[in-house]
Amino acid sequence: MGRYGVVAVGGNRTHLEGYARSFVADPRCELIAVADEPDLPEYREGLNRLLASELGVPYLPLEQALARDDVQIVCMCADVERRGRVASLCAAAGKHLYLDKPLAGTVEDAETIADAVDAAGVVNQMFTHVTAGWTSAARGAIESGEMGELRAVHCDMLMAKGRPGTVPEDAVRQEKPSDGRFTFVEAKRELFDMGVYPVSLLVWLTGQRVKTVYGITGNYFFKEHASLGIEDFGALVLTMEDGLVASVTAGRIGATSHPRGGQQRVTVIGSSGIATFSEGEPHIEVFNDDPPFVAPTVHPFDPMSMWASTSRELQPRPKGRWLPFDVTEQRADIEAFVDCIDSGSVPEVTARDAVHHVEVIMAGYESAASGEPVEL
Amino acid sequence: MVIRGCLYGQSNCWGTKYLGRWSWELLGSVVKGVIDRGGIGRPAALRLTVHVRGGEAEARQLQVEAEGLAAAWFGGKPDSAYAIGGSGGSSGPVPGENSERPTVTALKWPKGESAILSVSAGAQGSTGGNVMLMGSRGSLYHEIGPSDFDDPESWSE
Repeated sequence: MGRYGVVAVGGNRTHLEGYARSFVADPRCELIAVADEPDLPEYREGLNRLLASELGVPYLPLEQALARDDVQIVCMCADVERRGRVASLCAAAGKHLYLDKPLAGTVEDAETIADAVDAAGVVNQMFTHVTAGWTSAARGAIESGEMGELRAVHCDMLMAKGRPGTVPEDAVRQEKPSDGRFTFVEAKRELFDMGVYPVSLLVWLTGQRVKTVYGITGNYFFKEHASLGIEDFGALVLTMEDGLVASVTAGRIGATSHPRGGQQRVTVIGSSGIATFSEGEPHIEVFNDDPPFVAPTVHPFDPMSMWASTSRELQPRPKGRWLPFDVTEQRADIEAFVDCIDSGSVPEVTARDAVHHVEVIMAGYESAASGEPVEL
Repeated sequence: MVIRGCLYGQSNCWGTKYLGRWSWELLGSVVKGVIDRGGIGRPAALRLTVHVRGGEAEARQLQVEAEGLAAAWFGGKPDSAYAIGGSGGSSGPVPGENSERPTVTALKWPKGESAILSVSAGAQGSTGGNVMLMGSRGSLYHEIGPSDFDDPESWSE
């Protein structure tokens, strides 16, 4: 029996597929149930029930799950459009909250969540990459003074998934301010969904807030994004509060466009020079007579290979050419969250921090639409 | 004569024995060859970050080189530009030590292609950078080793 009872909100084809299993793997935790709001679309409730079944726990109405005394933690992966409401309910019930990224689809919803968790005094953390070895190494280099006076930070988060080369030749993106819609079966808004990683990393690495945002979005790779009118690539040029310059690229570039899962790196420039910290470095390269990697078959309900459950069905060939020395497991972030509950300390990235990330990304959309920088 | 260049990054360089020559021109032509034979599909987004030994003059030259590569690979000049940092960015000159602040430039082309270029020069410390060009059906990556920029003569055209 674990010390912390956990309720997982969401289901298959959300990040809960991984998070819930990470909580199960933590000996301090016991998964009590999967839960969600009533009156969900049939497909969403079905996918939630499927995850509950896979994990061997009941599927409960959210209010019933929150009323249980043996539940101390909620792992919240409700649809982005519902996050403000669901997270506030969980916080009001006094549950510690592990939050999916991005925190919410609007700055207002994000503030609602941050206000609710602060008022309830619960431990709260949003998933990011700050517990990974390569990001810790970057922060160590900055904090130790090894980089000298910090001058610029550049971060890339580009996911190598999906079948590229399908975007119409004449697709020229004209961005518009966010319409608040983020949940689609076929694809995600990539500046929003992937951009939150580098934005959160920049703020965490520098300890500074973003002051000015200039954004670019594009439809460069996939017909799915183009047909939904959402971007598959985004870039931000940022001025931080003390004048430090920074930039971000984020998106989805195609399964065959990187030797591993994608480009995840930060390049730091200081008065002592330049250094790059990457998820894939150091690595060895393996060349042999194994068949080359090919893009997996397109899953009709997940053409961008967003979810482990659908990818398992297709059994894609693993990439074996480029092997890094060290890979941080996703569960490290959840272990760090439970550590904070144990010790009563504040997580590295809280809901309050994440409000700013949403603010930066929304400013990025506004800038990409207008062609002008946006002051925060 | 010391032939400089390290096409595979820091870990593949041993002392001062270098196996090839690095230059903007060579980088530009190799990448153009990949583009011309359709190796990455339609070039769409460029990410180029470079830090060299030197001062403002070297940084300015770097900016010219980087913009030249982008124009060559995307087949023309951009129709919009936004820059921050450095001495020529939108934020204007920065006095004293901060004159070494990198210039970050966002460029956009009429058909939607984009580039984020970060160039800088410093009086001391490590040099190098990286280039990533993403195309509609593939990407190419290049790590610029520290030895490539030890002597400005080795990268000046």
